[in-house]
Amino acid sequence: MTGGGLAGTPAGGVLEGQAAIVTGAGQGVGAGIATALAAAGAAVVIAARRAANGEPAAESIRAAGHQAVFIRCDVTEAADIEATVDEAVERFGGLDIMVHNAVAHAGRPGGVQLTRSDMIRPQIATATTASFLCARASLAHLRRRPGTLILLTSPAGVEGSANLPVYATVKATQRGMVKSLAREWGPDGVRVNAIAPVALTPAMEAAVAANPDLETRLVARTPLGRLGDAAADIGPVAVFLASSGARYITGQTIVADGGGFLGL
Amino acid sequence: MSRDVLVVGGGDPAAALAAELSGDVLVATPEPADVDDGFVDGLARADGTPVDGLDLVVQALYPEQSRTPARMNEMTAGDWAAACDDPLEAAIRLARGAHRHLAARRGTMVVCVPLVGAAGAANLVAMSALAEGLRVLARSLARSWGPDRIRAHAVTLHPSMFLSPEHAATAVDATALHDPALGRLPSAAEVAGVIDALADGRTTGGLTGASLVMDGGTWMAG
Repeated sequence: MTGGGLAGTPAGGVLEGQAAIVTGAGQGVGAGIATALAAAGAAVVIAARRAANGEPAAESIRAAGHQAVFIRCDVTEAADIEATVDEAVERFGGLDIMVHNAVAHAGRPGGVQLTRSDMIRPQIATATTASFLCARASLAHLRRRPGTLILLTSPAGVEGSANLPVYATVKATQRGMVKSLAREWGPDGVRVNAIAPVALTPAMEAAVAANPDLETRLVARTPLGRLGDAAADIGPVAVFLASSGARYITGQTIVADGGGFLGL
Repeated sequence: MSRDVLVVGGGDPAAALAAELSGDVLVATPEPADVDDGFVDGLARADGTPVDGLDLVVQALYPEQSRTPARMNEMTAGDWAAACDDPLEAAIRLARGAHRHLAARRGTMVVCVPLVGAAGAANLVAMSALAEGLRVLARSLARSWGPDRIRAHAVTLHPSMFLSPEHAATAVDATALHDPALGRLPSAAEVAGVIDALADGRTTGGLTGASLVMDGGTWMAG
């Protein structure tokens, strides 16, 4: 992606010279966002729990001629997040873009009373607590640029979910956080936004394999008639939010779902 | 038949609402860590009889840490857990435990949330995250509990119903809220009247998943 004539756009990509961290970037939406940020010129840290995913994701970006490095990071561990931020700053000279995308497995679909008891706190830890930890660890560096924080939420975090109620709840906490952090960090010039995507990710493919009607139902409620592509449809939204073109946008949730949710 | 009501939460707005709601009102003031999946089953009325079926559950459990303004980057992980994660998990577990009691009566769950979640407020990030999570939890409960004839709603209230006068004034500034269009905020009795109506299947039986803002016309977005 190039500047396309935006005022103040660097000669290369719109994010040339910037440094980004994307959590949960070993696959799916996180990998798509990391790929798009790198293609726009950012040096990207693939922060993922497993090297088996993270290393290939970083290698794929490097093979395309862009900058990326894998750092092992369990987002439920404050020390991991802080170490990832420190290493990113050391390697790339600062941090401009922090994207928290990692998500825990939501378990089998069903009402809240049917959710496995031991799958509740991990979902809170990975979405809610980790958003706090990512924000706290990155603020000092984002202030210096000033940079931007992007949290990946979900349309379910707006309209609720009959089958994934805990997932919807924790995704909603991220929207509340975005609005208040935007107010708290605005005076420092740090912008905070959320993206609520629907994309055909490995997790979605697994859900579709288990329930073949799912994709048909999702597509039927999507005006654009297809599920999103993580790199081509969701990644550019993150690039835009991180770019100077979005410099007057903060505290917002951008729903990137092909028009499926129109309630805002 | 008298209506059996459970109000969960200490301080306001729980206490003020409990005093105004109609029916046989049981108030529980647990710490978030005390709310497990069997919490509702373990409750007993003043005469010692166990809770067996509920017509209305009002969730308003906000620990002091949630109500205390703080810069997010100055919070420890323990602060954050106490202000947001622990009461969030408690609300989820309360809902799990309340399900069978509400299903027995075709009852209603009402989650009370502060306006800071919808509008955002500097220095109340944890409370905002908790509030938005709970608001959407109510929507999810409405979606999944509809077939059980249980209805669920969120009622959004002005920050002054959750915070001390000093903190509420700060929150109003931090949220850039307008003055209430009605020139005053609703009383606890007025809020309780709306919750009573939400629990009355004869008048609101076709309503579920609503997110009502009861703030005298302070915030009118969405």
